[in-house]
Amino acid sequence: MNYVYLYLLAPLHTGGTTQEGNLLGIARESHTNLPYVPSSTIRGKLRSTVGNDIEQRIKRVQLFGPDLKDTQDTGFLEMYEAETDKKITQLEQGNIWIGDGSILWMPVPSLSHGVIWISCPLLLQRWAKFNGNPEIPAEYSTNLATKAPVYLKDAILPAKSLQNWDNWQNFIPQSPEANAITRVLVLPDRHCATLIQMSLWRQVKIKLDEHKSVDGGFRYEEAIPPDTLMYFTWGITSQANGKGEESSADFKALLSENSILQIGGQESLGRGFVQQWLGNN
Amino acid sequence: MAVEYFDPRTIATPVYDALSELRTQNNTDQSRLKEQKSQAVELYTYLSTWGMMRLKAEEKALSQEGKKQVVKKFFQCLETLSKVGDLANNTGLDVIKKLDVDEYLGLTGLGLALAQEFSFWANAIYHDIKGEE
Repeated sequence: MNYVYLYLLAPLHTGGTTQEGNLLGIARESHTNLPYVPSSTIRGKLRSTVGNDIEQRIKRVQLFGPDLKDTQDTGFLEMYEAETDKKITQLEQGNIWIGDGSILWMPVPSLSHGVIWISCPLLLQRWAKFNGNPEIPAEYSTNLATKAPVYLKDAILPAKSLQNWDNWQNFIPQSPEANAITRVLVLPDRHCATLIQMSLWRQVKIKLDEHKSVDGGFRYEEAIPPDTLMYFTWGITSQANGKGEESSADFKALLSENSILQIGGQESLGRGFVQQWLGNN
Repeated sequence: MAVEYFDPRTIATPVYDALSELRTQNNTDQSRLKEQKSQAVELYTYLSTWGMMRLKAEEKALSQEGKKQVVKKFFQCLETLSKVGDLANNTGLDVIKKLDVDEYLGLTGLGLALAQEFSFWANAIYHDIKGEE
C-alpha cells in the first residue's frame, strides 16, 4: 500500500452534510465524526491536473477511468484503442485507486507551548497499519518536557499525567515538508476528538445589505486548520491488468509535478492549498 | 418502567422541551424571541471557540435576557444529561473549575453535541422568527 502526505498550507473546507443553525460544516467520517477529505475530492483534483493533449488524455483515462465525455467521443475512443489495445465501451475504473484523506497530526493552540500537534491511538494505529509500525504510544505520550504542565486550548494537563516519548519521530514523516511538527502529544481518543472539534478553523461571515448594514446574523464556516498533517492511501486496481507498474509510475510522476494542490472549496479565498508528497514505504 | 439503555432521543428531548418552554413563556415578546433564537444557534460555535468555562460565565456577562435564558437552559440540560451536580446553578463555574481534565474534556464533548442539538431545534421551534437581536 502506498501513501501520500498532505501538509495543509491553508484552511481546507470540503463540504459536508452538517448545516445546523448557522454553521456550514465539513465532511466527516461517519464512524468517528472526525473531519476527513473524501477520496473523490482528491481524485477529482489530481485528475484535473492532467493536461488535455491527446497523449495526456489517454494517460488520464488509463489512470482514473473515462468520464462521460470521453465515452461519447468516437475519435478519441479510436485513438485510445489504437494506443492501448483496449476498447472502452462504458464508464469504468482506472488503474489507480485513491483512499480518503485522514488526519494524522493536528495543531492546537497552547498557552505554554505556542502550538502543539495532537493525535490519538486511533489515528496513529490507522496510519501505522499502512506503515508496518505496530508500536502505538501510550496516551499522554509527548516529546515535551514532562516536568511542567501543558496548556492546551482551555485545558491544563498536569505534569504527572504526561509520559516521556522517545521515538516520536517514527510517527512523523521524515521529510522537510513536515519539519514544522516538533511538539507532539498523544491524547486519549475521546479527548482528541473534542480537541480537534475545538481547534477547527471557524470563519465568521456576515452579509451586508445595500446600505452596508449587517443583514441577518453571523454565519460560520468550518475548515481543517493549516499546518495539519494528513495522508491518503493509494494503489493499483484489479482493472490494471499488467499495466500496474506503468500506471504507478505515471501516477507518481503526476504527484511530483504537482507538489502543491488546491483541494476543496473557496479557492478564491486562498483556501485548500496543500503540499503533498509521496511517503516512503 | 423498564430502563432504556439506548434511546436515540436522549439528547434531543431535553433540548426540545427547554426551547419549547422558553418560547411559550415569552411568546408575545418578539425581541426576546429573537435573542433566544440567535443564542441557541450560536451556542455550538461559542463553545467550540471559547470553551465551557467562558460559556458558563456568559450567564452573568450577557446583558440580553433572552440570550441569558438560553445559556441557563443549556447548562440545565447538560446537568441532566451528564449527572454532574450543580452545573446549572450559581456555583456552576466552581464545579467546572474543579473537574479534572478528563472530566472537563468529556463534559465539553457532551456539551458540543448538546449545542449542536440546540442549533437544530432553534431553527425548528423559532422557524417564524427572522433576523437577529
